[in-house]
Amino acid sequence: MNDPLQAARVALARLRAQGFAVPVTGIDAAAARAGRLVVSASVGGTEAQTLGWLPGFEPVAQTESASRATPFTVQVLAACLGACWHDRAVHPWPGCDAGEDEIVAALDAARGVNSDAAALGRIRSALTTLRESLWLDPESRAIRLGPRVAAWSASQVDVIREVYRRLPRDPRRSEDSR
Amino acid sequence: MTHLSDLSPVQQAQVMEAVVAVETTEVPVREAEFPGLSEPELRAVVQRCLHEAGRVLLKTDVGFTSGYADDVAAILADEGVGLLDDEDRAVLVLVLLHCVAIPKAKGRVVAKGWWPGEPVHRSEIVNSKVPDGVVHDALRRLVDRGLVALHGQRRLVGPGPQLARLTSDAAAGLWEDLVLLAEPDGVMADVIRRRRQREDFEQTGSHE
Repeated sequence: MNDPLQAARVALARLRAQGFAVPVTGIDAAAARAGRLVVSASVGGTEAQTLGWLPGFEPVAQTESASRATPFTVQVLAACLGACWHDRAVHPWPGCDAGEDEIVAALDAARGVNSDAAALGRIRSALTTLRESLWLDPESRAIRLGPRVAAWSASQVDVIREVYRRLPRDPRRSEDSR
Repeated sequence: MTHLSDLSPVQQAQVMEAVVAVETTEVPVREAEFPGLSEPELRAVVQRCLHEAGRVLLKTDVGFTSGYADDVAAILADEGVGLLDDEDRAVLVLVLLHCVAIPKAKGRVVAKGWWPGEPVHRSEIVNSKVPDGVVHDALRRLVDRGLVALHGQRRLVGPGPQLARLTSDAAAGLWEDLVLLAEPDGVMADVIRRRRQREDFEQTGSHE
């Protein structure tokens, strides 16, 4: 593809379609003309790009991927954030890897019950959904925050920071370690 | 040609509010709520912003949304980007047949396009040659992608709002694919195949 403008159009559309892609140079200016921001991320330990919004223009209303998620899936995402985001002062991405057991323990503590086999199945199904929709790294076996979180702007992180202490967390982990 | 950076800060905000709305809102948004859509000069900049990212502004029966530009969608499809796997595609076809094609043939659905269609009971989709488990798994993935919507306490299944993001050419192409599938030996199917062969030939010729 010799036309750089057309190449940038396709690269930006690819980022939207896939949620992430291998890094391409020379698309930042085209992204800015579109009101978008190309954000560095990594998927499965490999460098990648994802698509955010120019600062000041980020979505504030409920976006389509969020409105499609069930309340339970949102709760599981909150537990993933609680498990992977250990320093409120910094951006949650990339954060730390967590185990599925930490997510289960965090949700059990939040709900005051121990998950039975059916509940475990629902949690695993929600984790699959979160990986498929790139809130979690789709190529990591551990619980690792994904490119959608990497694309959060500073102001969007500020909103999440407001609920940092209310995120479900594994009570076995010391509060002091955060 | 006016670009985003040529506008005043207020106008930039109005344009971006419209761009963000059509790009991220689940269903089409109403023109009257966004100066970036209702004022022609600003709407042209919205279209310009979308164009830069391989997207187009689409007007539907209920408002504005956005979709992939046809030329960009063709390139991505050739790369295999954004394609559904065979099982998801089969189940989506079942949904479209039951919720749009059949009701349209009976005159119950008159809206153009594929969304919102006429939801049917989940059992109508499950009772097919596709194994039950495959249908249930595919429906979950299609719902996650917004290609299928659940209604009536999740008992009813219908086309999802992402189908409103098809350009008119893409929507027509999907309709033709269904004709080829449902009545492969019919006159319409023959006309479609001949026209596509001619277009393929012309396209191949123009590249040489």
